[in-house]
Amino acid sequence: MINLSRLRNLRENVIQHAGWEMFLMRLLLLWPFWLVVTRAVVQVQPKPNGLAHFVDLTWLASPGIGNVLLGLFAVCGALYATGFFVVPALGIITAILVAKGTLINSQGAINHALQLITLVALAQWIVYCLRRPLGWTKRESHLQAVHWAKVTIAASYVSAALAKLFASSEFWIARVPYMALQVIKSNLQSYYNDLVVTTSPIAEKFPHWVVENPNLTRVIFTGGLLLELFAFLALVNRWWALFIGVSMLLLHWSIQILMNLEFKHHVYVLLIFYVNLPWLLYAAVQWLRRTFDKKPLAQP
Amino acid sequence: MKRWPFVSVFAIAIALQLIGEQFPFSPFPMYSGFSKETTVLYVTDAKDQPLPIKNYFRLSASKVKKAFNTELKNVCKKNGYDDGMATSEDYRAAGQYTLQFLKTQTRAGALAKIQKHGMKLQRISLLMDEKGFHQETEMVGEIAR
Repeated sequence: MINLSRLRNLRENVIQHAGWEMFLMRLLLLWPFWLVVTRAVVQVQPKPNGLAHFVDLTWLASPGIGNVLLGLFAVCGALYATGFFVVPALGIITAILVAKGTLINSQGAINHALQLITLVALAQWIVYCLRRPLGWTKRESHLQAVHWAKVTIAASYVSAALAKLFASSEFWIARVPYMALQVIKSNLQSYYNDLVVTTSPIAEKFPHWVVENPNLTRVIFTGGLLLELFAFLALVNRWWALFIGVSMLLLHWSIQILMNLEFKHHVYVLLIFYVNLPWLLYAAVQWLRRTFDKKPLAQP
Repeated sequence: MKRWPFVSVFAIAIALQLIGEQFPFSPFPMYSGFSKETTVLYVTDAKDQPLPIKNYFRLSASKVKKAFNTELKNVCKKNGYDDGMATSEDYRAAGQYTLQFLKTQTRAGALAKIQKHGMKLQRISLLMDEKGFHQETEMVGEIAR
């Protein structure tokens, strides 16, 4: 029997992370930020998207600008990680991420690799702005910034699930077997990128398996859809965050095996905010210490 | 607010749906619609030998396809119909545009090879039915030597 009263406990909580955990989160987040800052861009924006409708961003590809951005990022990254002058520091980092991502998405082809990491930066910056920290940032502001990063990650997955549910007149699950075509397409595209065959043996067999087992395919992919739809449960407590985080990582890993598609920025934010590896190691060490420190019972 | 669990998540998710694709906002529609047909675009030289897209043009085959599809929609919109009704002339127009766009993205070393050997845009149509998979390839654009 399901105890319904326990479901009432499933509500959003601001997890009380330790100061060192949040410092490590900010420090680790600099890595995916850096990957965006150092992304190569081209000096055209033929199909403007977002801010590029109003601003010419092609200067980002001008010679020498890359080094200026790297210098700015180094200073702002150090301030952000250490918690000093977070509003201007994260503001500049967010502006760089938005500008670069916008230019990359203004080439006539929308790509979904950089939106989540940029939204996480934007959400944190808005939280810090609203709390107006001067100089040194207080713990409560960091707690809220981490919480809203998690809210943003969950919202992006819930949005992906809603898009699947509302995108077509026919129920998404009914059309899932056609996913097999997408697997073939993705692997062909990977081949034409470098003219190197990278299709895994699983990806080779999967489309034919789908044709033979369409209903089983629907059952399996319903699991993925439900995982996205219920991503908000990661906000309940650390263990739910760990469960959702690891499940999402498995989902991305299976997509990578089948379709050669990497979502590395998504993987980094899941590892940092949901799986929270440093805390996991700390919890494991604490558990081992408690287990082995217990003195054996005296013999009667 | 506390009476409505996870209201912040759903508020942001709905806002992302409403704002649409305006970076950094996105409804994250990856694989939200599956069809029994799809296409792959690739680039060859004049002798139909495939060119490594990333190495030549600094972008991926999926971006080439997205650029082609965006232009195909524009061409069809100008002609007053949906891209589902696209004619072979529309495909050629979008293909020529895509090749010109690729030329602007070409690495310096590769540009000389293209000028010497030309390039073509090829479109593979993939179809799935109960029996399995079928494919057809057609050229949708060409830049002569």
